[in-house]
Amino acid sequence: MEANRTKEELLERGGKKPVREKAVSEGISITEAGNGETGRRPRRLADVAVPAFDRRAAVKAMEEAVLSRKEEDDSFLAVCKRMFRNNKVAAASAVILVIYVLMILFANVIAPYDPAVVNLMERLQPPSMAHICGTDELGRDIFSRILYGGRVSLLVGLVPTSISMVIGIIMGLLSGYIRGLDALIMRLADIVLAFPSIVLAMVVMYTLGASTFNIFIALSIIGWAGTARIVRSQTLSLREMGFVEAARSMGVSRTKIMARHILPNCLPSLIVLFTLNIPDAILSESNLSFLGVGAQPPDTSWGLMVSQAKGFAISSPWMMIFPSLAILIMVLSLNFLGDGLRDEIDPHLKK
Amino acid sequence: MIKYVTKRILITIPILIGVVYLIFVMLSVVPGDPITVMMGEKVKPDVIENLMERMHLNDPWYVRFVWYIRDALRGDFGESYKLHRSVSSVIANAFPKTLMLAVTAACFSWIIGIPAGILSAVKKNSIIDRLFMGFALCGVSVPAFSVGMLLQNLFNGILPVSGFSSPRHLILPAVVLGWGAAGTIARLTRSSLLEVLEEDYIRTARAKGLMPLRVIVTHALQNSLLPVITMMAIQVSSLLSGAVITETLFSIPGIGRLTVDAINTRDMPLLQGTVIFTTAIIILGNLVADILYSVVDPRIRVEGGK
Amino acid sequence: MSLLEIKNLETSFFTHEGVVRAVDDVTILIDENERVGIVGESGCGKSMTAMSLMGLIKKPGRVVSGSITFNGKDMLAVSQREKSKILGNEISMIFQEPMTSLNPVITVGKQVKEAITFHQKDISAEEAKRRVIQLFEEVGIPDAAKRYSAYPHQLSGGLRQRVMIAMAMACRPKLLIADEPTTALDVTIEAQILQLMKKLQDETGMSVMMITHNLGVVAQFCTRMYVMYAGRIMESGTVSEVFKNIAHPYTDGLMRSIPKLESRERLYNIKGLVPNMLDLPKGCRFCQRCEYSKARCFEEEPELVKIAPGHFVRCFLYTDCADQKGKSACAENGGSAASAPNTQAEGGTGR
Repeated sequence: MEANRTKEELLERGGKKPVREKAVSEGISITEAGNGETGRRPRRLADVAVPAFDRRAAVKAMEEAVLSRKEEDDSFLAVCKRMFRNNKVAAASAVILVIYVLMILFANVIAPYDPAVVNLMERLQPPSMAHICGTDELGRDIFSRILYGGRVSLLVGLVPTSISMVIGIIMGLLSGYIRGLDALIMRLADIVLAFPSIVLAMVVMYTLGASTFNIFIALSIIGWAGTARIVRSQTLSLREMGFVEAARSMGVSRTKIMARHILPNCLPSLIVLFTLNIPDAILSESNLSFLGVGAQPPDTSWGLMVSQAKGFAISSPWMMIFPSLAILIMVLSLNFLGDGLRDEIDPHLKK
Repeated sequence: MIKYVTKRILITIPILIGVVYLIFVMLSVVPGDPITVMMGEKVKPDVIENLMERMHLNDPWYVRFVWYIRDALRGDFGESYKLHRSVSSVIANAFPKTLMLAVTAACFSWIIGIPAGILSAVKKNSIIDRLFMGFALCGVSVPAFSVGMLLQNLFNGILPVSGFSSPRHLILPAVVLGWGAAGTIARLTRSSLLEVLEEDYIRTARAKGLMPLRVIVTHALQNSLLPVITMMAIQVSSLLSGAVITETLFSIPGIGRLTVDAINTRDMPLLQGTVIFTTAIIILGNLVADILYSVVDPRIRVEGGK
Repeated sequence: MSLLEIKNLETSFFTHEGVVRAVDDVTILIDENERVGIVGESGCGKSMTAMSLMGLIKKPGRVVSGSITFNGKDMLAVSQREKSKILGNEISMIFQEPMTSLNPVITVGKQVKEAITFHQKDISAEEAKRRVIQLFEEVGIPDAAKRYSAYPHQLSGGLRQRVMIAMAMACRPKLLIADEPTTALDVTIEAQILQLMKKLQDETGMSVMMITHNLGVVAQFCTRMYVMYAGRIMESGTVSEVFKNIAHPYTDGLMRSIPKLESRERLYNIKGLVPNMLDLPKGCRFCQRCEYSKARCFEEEPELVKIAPGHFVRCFLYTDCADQKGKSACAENGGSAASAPNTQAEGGTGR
């Protein structure tokens, strides 16, 4: 069902549905006709004009004819521009994220205290001018620790997400394009998705041993399955489209079709997916840290800071409130940004 | 219908075996001698030998896997290293608590989530809608234990904040556990209802003269709740996952807590048992979700599914 | 007084890009026991006229001005409660897409029954069910009793449209609006459905507003017709009069685009596309596509003028003649129009 919908959307994006049939039936005549200009985006197949014998250009042109949207530029930059213009919340989130990331990167400049220095004289201080977020049970400045802890949280957001997406894309392409691998890869994905994610992550962390680095591995192992499913369903619908069929009929190799024609058309949704997967990873890391199998001291992460406040939730609530807020703002802005991007890239979902 | 259900059940079997296999392999490679974990350092060699023999520890891992599957089918998941009781009895003891927590949390999330979603959809873009959706988004944007600690702080002295000895003890953990689920349900209900309200048959119903509220109740709700029902069953998964956190935070001796304890004490059979059990429950939940979906959707029910 | 009087109706959509006047100064009168056709290309505002009448215009659209009077009641001013008593009861509507217009999770019998029980509270459940089965028989659904408990997806398109008609006929309406009822159906089914509607109209004496883009349907079914283009009425009159003396170049174009067996000529097509509703031409809305357009057509918009009893046209070809000024010039200009000379003479005197 999912595959069908995507297909319909993609076809609709092309403007007119019959384009696909046309593309197939007129495939040969298009390559034979030819008087230049592939740079612009052709709206109708009649406009598709390519030099004869240039099969890459021919396929590319057909691809554009089928997929190009009316009057809208699909490049990532253009999408961002549109988002900034149309969606104030997403735009604000983007700005907040940039500021946030800069603060975390320049933690050593901004942080008022050394995050690791223990000062028992000032333990469990409520927020004040000296410590704007208060201090923890060892007298360490919470604000400084949030800035430094952000580095781990940010890394945990980016590294495993990237790794799992790469694995997921490869698995999804293979599974969607090569029939023989489909069942095998999808059952594997089913198995991974059958586990409650925290429990699977816990077991992996138990197997590998708790450390910040192993979180990357654990979250990568878990995260690929979802991406693979989405890429697969898109691949399944794209492989039936005229330009892929045309490319196949011209003898373009499977690897090239996957890399040049299918993957680029999956990219918009993958960008959205990437934005939405980061917050998931950050939350998963928090959970692992809370259960004692995540980041290990002296490293610190937001999740670890909150979990260290476990015994102090009633007496010194600031210890958990500020790191929680740090997570909330980060995750919320990423979610808004992801939603905003999706609305722009895929207007059909905008309701 | 029966064909569809049978097919659906048959698909789950290889997945279940795969799950057991994956867990088994992962835990087999963990370094450490189970006898040491079990009995401490000072044990006579012949006792060790005896135990190794009894627990099939001398066999290669694939032989042990077959043994394990055979025992598991009979309901025997081995003996806990630390608790010195059979894993199945430990799980049987803990599971009702987790189930109670999960069911309460699920009810909470549906009672809050579905009406909030419907109201948001009907009053689209109003202040109520924005407020509800803001809450829903916050619900899924912060770790559950943050919410839990905040509630512990706010309700300290009003409600019990840890332990599991009375129904009142269930309130806070259920709210914490159901919070994120409620957000998800509300968002899904809203988007699904909005989608359905755009359908042609809603226009038909309006053209019949039905009042807007009646159109929503009789024509839109059933259709829009189809995906929500599936989501509700699938949420068993996230609730059981979340139970690990909630039970740890509120000191509830359920399955989740057991899993965490098993990891901390390196109690392998117990860990194996709890993880496989939890996952099996989730697979079962998804199965029920699919069958439920086919029951409520006449397009699948009557045709026999595709 | 007519059964339905739509006067100077304007329905606009307030989009981000600007205001779209989907229905612009439209006046339509329908008497009792009359079959009226509204003809035009897709997007010309014919469905929107019906939707305005039913109060089904969705945001960002709304009725801006004009009046709709049905049976002496001002449809734009009545309360929600009042309107719900009229809709489905005195006015009912059949839609274009029988595939999607029925609720997939409720049996068709129940959906039709709902129309009865909602408007006639005193009727018992068994009685209502009996009526539904009777209705099903009336509209030619075989195995009516068995089909009562069928779900929409179990019926063919033709049967579903019959169910829609049964639903519309359930309360013996005074006015039936049929919005392209046969467009989505096979040609053979189309004829059957039209015959059925004609039979029902004969028996009940209701009025029918037939919205279609198919002049063939109008010729077969209607007694009077309105031709709409870009939100405006371009020509109106009795079907026999209009078909005999086609006056407006647009109607003429529509007529000539119907394939004819006896003719060996190349099929005519109206050049160009419906104008962008956001950027309408300054003068006559059809000027850019019209074969007879003159400088004046691009500058100002013609009025709807009477050229024969009950025959109105919005075109300078006739107003100029009516002004008695360049009568000879008019004859020259109009002489090339397929059927203009005939009407032109009458146009001169008919005023």
